Amino acid sequence: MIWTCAISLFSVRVAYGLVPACQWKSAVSKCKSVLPPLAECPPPVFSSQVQAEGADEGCITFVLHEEDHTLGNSLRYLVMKNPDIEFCGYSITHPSESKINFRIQTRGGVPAVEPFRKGLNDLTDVCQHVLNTFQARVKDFKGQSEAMD
Amino acid sequence: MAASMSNVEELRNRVILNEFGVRNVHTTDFPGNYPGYNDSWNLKKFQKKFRIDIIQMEENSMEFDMVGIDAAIANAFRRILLAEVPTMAVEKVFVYNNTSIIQDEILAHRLGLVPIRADPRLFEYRNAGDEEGTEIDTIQLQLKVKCTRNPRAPRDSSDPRELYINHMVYSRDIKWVPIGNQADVFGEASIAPVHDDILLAQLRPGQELDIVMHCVKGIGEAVARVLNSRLDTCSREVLRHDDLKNVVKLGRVRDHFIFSVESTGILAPDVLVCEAINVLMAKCRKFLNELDAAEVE
Repeated sequence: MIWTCAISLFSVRVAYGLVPACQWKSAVSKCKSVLPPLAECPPPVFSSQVQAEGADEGCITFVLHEEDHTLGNSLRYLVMKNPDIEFCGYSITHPSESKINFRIQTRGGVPAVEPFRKGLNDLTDVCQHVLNTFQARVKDFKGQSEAMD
Repeated sequence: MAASMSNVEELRNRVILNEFGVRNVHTTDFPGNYPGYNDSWNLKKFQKKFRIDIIQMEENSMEFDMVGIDAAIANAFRRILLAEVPTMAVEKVFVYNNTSIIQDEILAHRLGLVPIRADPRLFEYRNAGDEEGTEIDTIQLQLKVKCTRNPRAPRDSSDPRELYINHMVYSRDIKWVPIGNQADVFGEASIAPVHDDILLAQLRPGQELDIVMHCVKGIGEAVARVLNSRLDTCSREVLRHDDLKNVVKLGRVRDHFIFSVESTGILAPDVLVCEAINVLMAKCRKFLNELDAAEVE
């Protein structure tokens, strides 16, 4: 039997050694999550559940439904680019369930929802810029090939 | 490429290929990892470094380079192109009569794989639990073929093409049945399978197919491959020669990606890429809305 490990990417900060006292607890069993209805061709249905551990708002595990590495990895990359972040990682709880646990731990008392929101906004900005650049280049390319004909 | 790249630059920018493995694959330029570098996210810096070069573009395939973007995001685009760009495809097959030798489920499976030329942006997703389907989310197609013996065939011929009429069922035999106001919106013959010559089934005299299909919008298909290092396969052959082994260092630029997109024909490849980027933006927006809604409570 092949043990399929839940993939989790840990990007630990090398220069700063201290790990806060917050425990990494699996949020799966405690989530009051609403599963989207099983349709033949489901329209994109999302729901996220916020699980805040203890009194420290700096450590939160977000459970993102109907998501996988596509959003998880790209969001992780952008959240990690934030200097306030102590820890950021995501894992797929089980390959049969399409949901990810996205964990953010911050330094300096910053509530963890902020870097999450900033990461989403940054990802939107990146996509917008890529889209604009791509469309401009396609237009140039088409104009160029028409000029040559 | 500089002849002697400082170690740090190499760690940050290059993936090193050794004889027996690949090193330095993961992105490490996060804030705090390298003293003296400011690695926090800066949109202006990204916009300055980022560029796209289109190498070639044809009707159904295109090749372009994306430089200056991280692997995580490039991979997200690739995954979306492969699996999450919506298309219209046959979902439900109503078999009224199938006396051919192809079983119902095999035929239904084959029909589901036929790409249908219909712009998915003009359709909505079907609501969950809706059995009938309305004109804004469903395309109805019909396949009605009966095979007969050809009375004019020569006496001792054994070629099925001469002996039988309609013995091969191709995708060109699939006809569109407009429902509601689709005939006005889409024009008479504009919805059909992309390719005419997909063989669906073979019949013999007396066998017939009478099938109605419903197409709905769903997650569709394209082919996307991402390569690295333009036109340099970076063959590691050189590492086999002992005298060269220690002198040559092979590396690849970590943030240069070659995308090669082949479309099934429903949407042009540049439209596919734009749709893929829109899908990723829509995902982010949905979560941002969720966050706002959660905060209001």
